[in-house]
Amino acid sequence: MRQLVATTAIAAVTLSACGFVNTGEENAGETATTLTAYVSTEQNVGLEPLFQRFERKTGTTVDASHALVDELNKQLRIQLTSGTAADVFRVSPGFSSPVAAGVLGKEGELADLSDGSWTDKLPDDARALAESDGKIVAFPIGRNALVMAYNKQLFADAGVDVPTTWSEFKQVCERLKANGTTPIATAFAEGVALQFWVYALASTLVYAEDPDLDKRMMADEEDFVDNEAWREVFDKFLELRDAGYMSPDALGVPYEQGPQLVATGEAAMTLLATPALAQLAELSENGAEDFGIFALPATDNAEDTHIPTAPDFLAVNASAKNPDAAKRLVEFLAKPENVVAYADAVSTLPGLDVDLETKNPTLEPIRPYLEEGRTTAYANYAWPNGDVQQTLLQSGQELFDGSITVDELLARMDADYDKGTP
Amino acid sequence: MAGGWYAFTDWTGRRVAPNFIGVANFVELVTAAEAIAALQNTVIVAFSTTAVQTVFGLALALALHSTLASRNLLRTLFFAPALLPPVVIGFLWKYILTPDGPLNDVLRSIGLDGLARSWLGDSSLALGSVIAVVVWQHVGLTMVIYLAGLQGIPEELREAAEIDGASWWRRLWHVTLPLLMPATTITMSLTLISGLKLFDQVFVMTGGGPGYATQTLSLIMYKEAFVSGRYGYSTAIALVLTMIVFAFAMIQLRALRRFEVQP
Amino acid sequence: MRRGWSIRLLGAELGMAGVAALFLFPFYIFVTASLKTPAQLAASPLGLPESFHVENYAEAWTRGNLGPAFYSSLVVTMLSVGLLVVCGSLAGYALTRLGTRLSYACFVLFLLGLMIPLQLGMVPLYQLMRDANLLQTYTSVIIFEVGHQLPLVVFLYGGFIRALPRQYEEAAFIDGASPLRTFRRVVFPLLRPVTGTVVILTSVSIWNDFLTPLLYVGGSPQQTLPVAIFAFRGEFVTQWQIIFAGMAMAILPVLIVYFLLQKYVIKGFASGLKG
Repeated sequence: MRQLVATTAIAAVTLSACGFVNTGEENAGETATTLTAYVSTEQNVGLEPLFQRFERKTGTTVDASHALVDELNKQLRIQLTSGTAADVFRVSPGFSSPVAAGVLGKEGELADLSDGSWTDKLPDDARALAESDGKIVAFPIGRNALVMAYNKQLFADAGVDVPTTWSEFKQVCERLKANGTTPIATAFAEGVALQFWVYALASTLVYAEDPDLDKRMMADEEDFVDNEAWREVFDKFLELRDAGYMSPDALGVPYEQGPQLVATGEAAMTLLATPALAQLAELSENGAEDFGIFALPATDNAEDTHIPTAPDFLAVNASAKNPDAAKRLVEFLAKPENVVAYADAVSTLPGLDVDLETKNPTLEPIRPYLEEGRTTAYANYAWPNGDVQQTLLQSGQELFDGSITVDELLARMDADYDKGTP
Repeated sequence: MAGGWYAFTDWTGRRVAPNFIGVANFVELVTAAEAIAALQNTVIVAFSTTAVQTVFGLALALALHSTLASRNLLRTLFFAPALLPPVVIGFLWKYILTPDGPLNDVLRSIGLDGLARSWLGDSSLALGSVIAVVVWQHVGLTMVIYLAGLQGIPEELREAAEIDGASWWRRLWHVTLPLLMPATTITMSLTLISGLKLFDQVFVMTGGGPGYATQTLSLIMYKEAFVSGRYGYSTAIALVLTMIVFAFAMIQLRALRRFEVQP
Repeated sequence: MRRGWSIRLLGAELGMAGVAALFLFPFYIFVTASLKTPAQLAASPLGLPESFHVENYAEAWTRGNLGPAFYSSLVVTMLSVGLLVVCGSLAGYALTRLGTRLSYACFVLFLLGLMIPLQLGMVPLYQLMRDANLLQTYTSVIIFEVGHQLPLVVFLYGGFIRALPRQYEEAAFIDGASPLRTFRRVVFPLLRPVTGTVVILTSVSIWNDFLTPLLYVGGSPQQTLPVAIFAFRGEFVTQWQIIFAGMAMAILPVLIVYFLLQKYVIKGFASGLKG
């Protein structure tokens, strides 16, 4: 008998030491000094050094894990339902996924961050997305923008300058095409890059002109189908396709290859989210010097041009084991020097309006847009569910290969819009 | 399984209790255009992978059940993809099949420019490409099962038929194939079931696109649960898929068993 | 006559070489791509790498923290397969030899388990693991894998045992051996072919499994190899060559074991399925 007890004891010790069972201390004893975080793979690049600095300064251990946004969304939903979610985690903006700030805020899953010292530095379009029922529930660690990246050498070869209006943009494309390069790299295999075109054109054509459209759509006073501006977005997009400015076989080109085609000089431009600029630089011989960026124009008045931006949110779990430490972490990340350090690390824009300059010269051309407030949120964040976007991704491909019309696409998006927030 | 209950609810995966909504989820499944297209694709994928893989697997097995010097080496090679994660295979082929990728490069370099295609980007080719990749990965499995079957056929039977002056085709048709029926039953059931449940390769290679050209039931099941947050509906799809798999497997097993003969 | 044969044989060899190329080509692409720099990869997807850029492997290894992941995968796979062989063979034996209506019903129930898509039980199972305080442990993954693969294993063992003559067992019973002893001494050794199949099939699919380990042990020190590899796939920054290098390291053990033991693998795989 004694032998049995001894064996069991040894077995138990071995098991807990080797990761077979969870030991008590991990779950109860250390909560006072441990904070858990669950962030996206991209965020982790910029957050890892900041977490370390936070650990050194406060003595609080940050136990961070990271995953791709898709995986994170999937797991976080289950974790929240099961009460196993981390103290701090990434949420999507608006209602764009089951774990978006708007959705979780309404359910009361997110802690109220309204008394944070950084809330007055929230950019306007981020503020609108960070709020739920009048409370601020999300903190923008960074801010991504959709910009056109171009190969400087190919522009020089064709003798063209950066376009500032829609007509100039088409002329540039024409000249590049005549010079034997594909003007625009379009990697639409997953639909991800295709939606970027829609958001970029809609930023100038729809939201800059009519900022209240979303409110009217929410109130069911207006639809996609009978909105002329939305129709123009898709008409202009198809205009580029019909003129032969986009990659042939665009629907077969995976998203990753968009930057690659520009880096190797097979195509002159591509529309991308700012964090992808780092990849572009890595792919080319002279790094960032080979490329420039500009805002995609959509009208013939350069003053009209707006760029779409997206806050990259972190939020605090309403039932965090250690809410105070979690809020301290957010305060720490919101310090101007840390906001800028993060932005530089992932080559994107600072999440808050801070006075410090980022060290990233590549982003210089779009700074005026930020300073003058000529930005709008990505269109999909105002939509009531993720289905509208999903339909845009898939039916958008059908629009591109000509199997449906603009009207049909808009009607399908309306149908999903009308489903409301689940 | 407790999961089955959710199929009759509007559960969204949250802490709020789900409402019982009867068979509404199932009604949606058989009326929504997307779901019908997915159902169609699922059936096409399952049947064509089963047919193609069985034929090719048998052909490879017959070729390697011979005196070829390289037979052991080839056997090893053809079976290898079946051991690798479908996700890895999906990634690899996604890269190979890009418009400027290795496959089209090869076609162009041997002067077959006309055959270079956007394999996954053209909605009329995408489903075929996915099927080809699935077959590529698993044909070795079918081959190995048939090889084992061939080894079980007594040599005397074949020799007797040869002495009777039967041609190669006649011998195959009247002697070999009937004796291989148990192997056919196994490989066809396995392929059909995995074809109906196909997820990883499509998920990685096309995500259901372009448009809805390669959408399958397991893919919309995934999207409804994790993109749209409709667990109830997703569970309903899962239940229907299970029933389809079960029904097909039973019908097939019955039908094939009839042709089996004992050696 | 003789001459005709050898020409036909040569033709067959050449034909098969063509088929073999079809199988080798993707592997060639896989290996060369994993050794190129991004620029080389973009410039020539087909050619041999100019210089072997082994850094990709080092980067994948450190970035993905693959060392501990290897260990985790090994532990999970070995223990799960061991448990599956023990439980599966016993269950298969009991269910086929008892011959009662109940045991047949149980067998059909197991078959049904073979066809249920994983997604159906994902959320309830996750909550079960949480309630048992097993998340982030090997145990959760092992329990899941054993449960998930058991229907297939029972199915394979059941089919094989049914075709086995009863004489041996009966002889053992007459000698006064207990059923368990009979099983261990007499039946189990006879099951060697199907055990080979079971070991191969289950270890490959457990080693390759991705979705559930991600849910249960993702982000913890206990995460398995596929989970670790896919963690450094980026939304904006995806680099084929690093992914390929990481994947190569994940599949290499499987391939090495396979090539060393290929004769047994293929034989063992098929012999159990004949039943």
